Amino acid sequence: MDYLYLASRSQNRTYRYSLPGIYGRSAGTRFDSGSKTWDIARDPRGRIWAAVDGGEYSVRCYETDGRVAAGIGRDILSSATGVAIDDGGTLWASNNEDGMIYGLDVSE
Amino acid sequence: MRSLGYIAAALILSVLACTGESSASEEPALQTGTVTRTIPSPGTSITGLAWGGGSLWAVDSATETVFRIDPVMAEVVSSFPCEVPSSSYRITGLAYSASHDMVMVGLWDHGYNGYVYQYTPLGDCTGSMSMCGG
Repeated sequence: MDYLYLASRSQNRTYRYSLPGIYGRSAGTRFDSGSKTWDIARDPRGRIWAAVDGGEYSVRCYETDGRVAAGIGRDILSSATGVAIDDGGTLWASNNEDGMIYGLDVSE
Repeated sequence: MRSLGYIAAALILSVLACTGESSASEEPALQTGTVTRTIPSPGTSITGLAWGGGSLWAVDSATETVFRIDPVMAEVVSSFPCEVPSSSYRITGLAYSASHDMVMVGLWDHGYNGYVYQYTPLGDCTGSMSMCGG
C-alpha cells in the first residue's frame, strides 16, 4: 500500500491517505510546535521534515510523536518552501530568496 | 508490497483545516544540515519538491509548472503545465508515488478548499480530488 501524506497549515498536523484513489484519511503526526507549514517530506524512519515560516529554523524535523527532533537553521538555509528526501537520505530544500535548491546532509 | 517506511509521497495541502490550533514555538536543540549540493531553481516561487524515478521534481506556483530535474547534471530535463481550477487557487505542494509512477500537485484557495491533481511523469492529467471542507 502506498500513501499520500498531507499537512494542514493551520492545524499543525499531517493526514494520511491511501493511493492511488486518495481515500481513507487517517490521522498522522501532530506537530509539537506551532508553525505555518509549507511543504513536507517523510523520511524512512517516519519522521516529517517540514518547511516552515518564522522561528530560528527554516526546516523542522518532527518525530512520529510530534516532538521536534532537529532543525535546519536560517544561517544555513534562510528560507524554505519545498522539501524532499531522496533515496540516499539527502534532504532537498528550495529557497526562493536566493533562487537555489539545496541538497543537505542531515545525518547528524 | 512496499514498506510503509519507504513511502515518500508527502505534500503540503492547507485545505483540511477546520479549526486552527497553534502553540508557542519551541526550537529544537539539535541543529542539523550541511549543504552538499546546489541546483539553480527553475522558478521564482517553488512551493513543492518531491523525489521519484531518480529525479528531483519541483513545482513553481508562479508559472504553474512542474519541472523534472536531473540532480547530477543540475538541469531541467522536462516540464509540464499544471491544471488550476481557478485563479484563486495557488499551488502548495508536490508528491511522487513510485508505486503508481504518479506525480501529485496540491492546490489551495487560501480558505477551506483545495485539490490534489494527479499526473503521469509526462504530464498527462489522470484525475483530481477535491479536498474541501476538512
